[in-house]
Amino acid sequence: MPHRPGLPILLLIALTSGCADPIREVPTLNLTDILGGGTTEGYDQATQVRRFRFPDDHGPHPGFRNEWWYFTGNVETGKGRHFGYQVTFFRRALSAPGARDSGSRWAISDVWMAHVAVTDTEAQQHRSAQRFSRSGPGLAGVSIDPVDMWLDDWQVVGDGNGFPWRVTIDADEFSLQLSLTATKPLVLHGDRGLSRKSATVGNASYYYSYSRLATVGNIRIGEDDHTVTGNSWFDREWSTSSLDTGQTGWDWFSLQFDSGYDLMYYQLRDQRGYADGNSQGSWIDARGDRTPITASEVKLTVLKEWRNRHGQTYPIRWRMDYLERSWVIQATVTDQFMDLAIPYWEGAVQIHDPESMAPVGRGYLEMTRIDPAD
Amino acid sequence: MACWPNRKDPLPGKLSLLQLSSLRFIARRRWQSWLTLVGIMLGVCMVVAVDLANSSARRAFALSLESMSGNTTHQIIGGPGGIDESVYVRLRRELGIRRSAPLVTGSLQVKGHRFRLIGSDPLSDAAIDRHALVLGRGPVSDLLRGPGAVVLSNRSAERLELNVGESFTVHFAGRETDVTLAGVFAAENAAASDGLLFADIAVAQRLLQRWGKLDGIHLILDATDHRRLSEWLPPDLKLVESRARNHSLQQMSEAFHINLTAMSLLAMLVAALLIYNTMTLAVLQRRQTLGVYRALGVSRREVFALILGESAVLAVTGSAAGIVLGLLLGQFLVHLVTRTISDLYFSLHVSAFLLDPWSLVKGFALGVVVTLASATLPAWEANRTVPAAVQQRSQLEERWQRQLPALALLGLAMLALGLFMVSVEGSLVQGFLALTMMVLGFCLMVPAAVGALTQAILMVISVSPYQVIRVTVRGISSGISRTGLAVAALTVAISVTVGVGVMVGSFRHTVGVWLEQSMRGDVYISSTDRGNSDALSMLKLQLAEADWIDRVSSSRLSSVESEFGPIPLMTVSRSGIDMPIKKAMANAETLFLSGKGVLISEPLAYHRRLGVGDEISLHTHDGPRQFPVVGIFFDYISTQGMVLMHDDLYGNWWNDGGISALTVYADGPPPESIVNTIQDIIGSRHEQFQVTSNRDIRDAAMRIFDRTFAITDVLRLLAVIVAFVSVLSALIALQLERTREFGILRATGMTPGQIRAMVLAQTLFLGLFAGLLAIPLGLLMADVLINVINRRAFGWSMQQIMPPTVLLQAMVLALGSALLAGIYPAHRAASISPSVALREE
Repeated sequence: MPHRPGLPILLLIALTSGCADPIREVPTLNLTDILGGGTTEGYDQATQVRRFRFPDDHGPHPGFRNEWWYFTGNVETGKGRHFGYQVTFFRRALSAPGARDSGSRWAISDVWMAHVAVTDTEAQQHRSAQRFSRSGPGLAGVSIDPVDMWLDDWQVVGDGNGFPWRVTIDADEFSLQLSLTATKPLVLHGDRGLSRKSATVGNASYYYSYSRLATVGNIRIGEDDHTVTGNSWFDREWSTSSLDTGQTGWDWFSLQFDSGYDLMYYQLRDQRGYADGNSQGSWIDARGDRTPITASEVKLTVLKEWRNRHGQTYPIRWRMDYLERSWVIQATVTDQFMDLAIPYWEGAVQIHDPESMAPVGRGYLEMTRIDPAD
Repeated sequence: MACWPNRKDPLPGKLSLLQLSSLRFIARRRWQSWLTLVGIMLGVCMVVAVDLANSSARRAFALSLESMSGNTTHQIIGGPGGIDESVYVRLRRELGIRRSAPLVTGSLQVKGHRFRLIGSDPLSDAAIDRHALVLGRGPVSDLLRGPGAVVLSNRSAERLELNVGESFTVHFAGRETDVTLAGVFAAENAAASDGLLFADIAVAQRLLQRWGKLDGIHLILDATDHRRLSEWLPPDLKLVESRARNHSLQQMSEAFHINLTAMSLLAMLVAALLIYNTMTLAVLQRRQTLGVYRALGVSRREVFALILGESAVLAVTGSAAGIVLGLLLGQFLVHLVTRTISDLYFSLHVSAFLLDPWSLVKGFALGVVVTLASATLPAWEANRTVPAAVQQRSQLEERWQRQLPALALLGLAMLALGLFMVSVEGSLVQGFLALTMMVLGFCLMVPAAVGALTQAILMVISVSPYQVIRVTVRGISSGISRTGLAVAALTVAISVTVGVGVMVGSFRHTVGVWLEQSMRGDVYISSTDRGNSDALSMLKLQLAEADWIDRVSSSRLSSVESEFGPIPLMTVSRSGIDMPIKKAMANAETLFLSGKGVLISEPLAYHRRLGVGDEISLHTHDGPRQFPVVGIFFDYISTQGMVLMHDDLYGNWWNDGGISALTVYADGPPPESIVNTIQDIIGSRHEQFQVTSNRDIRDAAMRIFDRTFAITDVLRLLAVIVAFVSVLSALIALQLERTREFGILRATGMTPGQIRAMVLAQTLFLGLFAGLLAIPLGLLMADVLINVINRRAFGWSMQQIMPPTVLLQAMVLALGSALLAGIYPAHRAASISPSVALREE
């Protein structure tokens, strides 16, 4: 998943435009100042294919500037009531490794940010929350043995280094208690996990996914508890720089078909809004075997757009043509805009057969928009 | 003064004849009118200045505390070693209490200025908006700019002459660290943020060498979180309400403020005497004129209104001027007051002058009311008499003479009541009331005493061939309404200097003796690294091997939570007790050394009504626990009191073993050479330790002592100035009234030189009387200050001594100011032309 390669730029937009902030964490804190100044000096870069090691690579890579652990999922109650959810931990390095030396455990080398959201399709509602922290003496981080990702009491922790991974999120308005077990092996995207975003060497990330995790648990929204089951998707990516100048955002799809296939595709957008040639994806069969997808194999057509309160438009109904296959992809709730320090649209979608309009799967869609003027 | 009528001014059109005469009088007696104004002004100025300084320092205290706790509702406070930072992590991870922020704080020096370091986590702060008060929407992110980044308000940066990006050095406990000014901010409340140095918590831990520990955790809690947290909190930590905590910290300095207020009221008393004196004078001088008015048919009411009107003009003008002057003086005094609070109670970063408009209103009202009251009595008196009699000065004096015994008796009764009040237990305020009562009572007795003294002198010199001397002395008793008041004012002022002088002298002496007794070690070594005491322990072992060292003991000064809030706790490893003991159980030393009880300091015992055999509750790592008090020791360091405990006992109940100082008892060599030898042993580790000789510590203690009383000195000086003006105005009045008498004396052959000598001699006698009377009153005052006021305020007992210089000073001051005040009146009396003086007849 190539999303958020332009994190600092996004932060800049978000924080200088003074966007609304549900839990008042940001206004007094000008993150732009911390995160701005995008020198890549001193950091590692994703320039070549690497050998992945697990579970080590589930842990952080402090040599790189940006990194994230990204969960999205579609679940249903026994009566078929649908919910989508998102849990993400971001790490952003403030300085290159070795630049800071202090005896204090509070010495701040990274800022951690967590985003969580839940979509209630029946009620047509979407809720989100965010948090920031430093690692400090253990306030936030990711570790292995066991696999553990946390920011304060928001946590995803594994059973040792294996599954299930237990998601525990309490965001006042809603909470998630989910248990995730991979039903397919993890898949390396791009060239054996090296995901190039532009022709410039180093504008790339290391990127892998668990494209399908069986999910059971509980979702609370307000006072209402729902026991749910379904599928989740876990994305892992780290990089130092990725987007090229002239790239203005992306549309990312993670689709899980009832047939057992999964599809990941990201389309990078240029300044005119056209698809960038570096767009790519993965077609994963039921056993977990991957077929790469290139930009020329996919055609995306916007069928319907939605405009948010800031005046930005986001397509909420698409037609995707991949080789001989076609689908209509429809957001289950129109407004799944993440109006946080970094604003973007991220939400649950349903996949339909274009002829019969019968549902054939579910997925998640992410859309970022960077105004070239910024 | 804009409203001052000038003789040459065209008279305003709409005034009545009476009002015109009034203005004319004021203009003609310019000297006296000025003195009246100066008197009112000085009186108001003193009260306003002290009140302003007091209220400003109080608000600075509150602001200092508020700017640190912000809008948090609660705080977690740790044991003596602080709070382990893992507690904070668990608080957020296990309890999910996110409206919480850590604090690491300490007092450090930048370019010779005291700054309070606030080490915080901006990412946590954002959730509780803790520093909104001081930082506003400031660039908190500047805090995260690098390993040495600090942020100041633009005012502080200007004061230190620092620009953004510039590096500078901060001093903490003898250690120097370079930091960089990463940003400045314009604070919403400039005063609250001046003196604060903000840093990221990692930087703060490095500057204070406070690894792994927090000084506090600030919280915003609702009822549910409060309950959950209370149940979860480890027993060594305490959850307190921010507001209550700030309040109890502020209470520490309350006695000090009451003392200052009392000093200012005493000054006001002197000022009131002065105002009364000058006002009566202004009225009485016009007895003749008033008599003429009455004879011409002006009604009593009109005369009364006229006088009060005049007084009102003087009262308003003088009080207004007093407020302006008080504002200026207050700004100077507030620095002395905040410095004392910082020295004694709590390191304040706010030192700005915070204007409390109420102080001005109070001062103004006081000035106007006292002035009008002072004028009312003589005005009423002047009105009461028949027109013809009013014109006679002698009438008034006769009445005064008749009333002297009654006044003296009333005074005696008040004095007795005051003495009774201090003999029974009571509050600090009650102590001051008693003192005021005694001073007032004494004042009332002064005129009678002056009469008696002159009679005595007249008797002694009745055989003297020098008629001139007898005339001189008789002049004093015949003008007792004037001279009595002047002497009373001067007496009170001088007695204040005697009383406070003896008190401070006794206090200083006591502290000196106490330092001598309690500091039996030769050299003291403290660690500049408060988080890590291992270096000290190692040094202790190293020193113990040196053959010229008799023994080395270690101690630790920290703060523990008690049933009375935080109190200082000193733990010692000694085999004996160095502190001078006030009262103890017979086997106190054994009990103390075997960890069976604690010693408490005298102020703690006094304020908390604890005695030997009682128990004191301290917050240990297992929660609150009772400790038996086996003795009470003298201590003059902490006004709140202090607990002394043996290391072993401490080790049983607190987990954070560690020492903060070593005491070296040497065998033979003088302390200075020991300091050098120890410096050699320490060698390259010198940054970690501070080595001080016994004498240097004592000198430093005395310096702080003297600094504490700097404000007292200023107030004493002011009282004397007010008294001086009072004497001057009384003498001028006296001489003016005696113009005719001088005329006759000149006409009968006295030379101007003789007249001058006579007037000066008279004022010298007045000074002498004041000096003589001030000594008993001053000693009485000292006694009350030492045994009642200081005890009730601080719980200290002190050895009363009589510094001989104080009495000498009092006499010199009394005679000097009287003589100085006599110069102009003497010159005036001498230059009177007999023909002019007698023409009035």
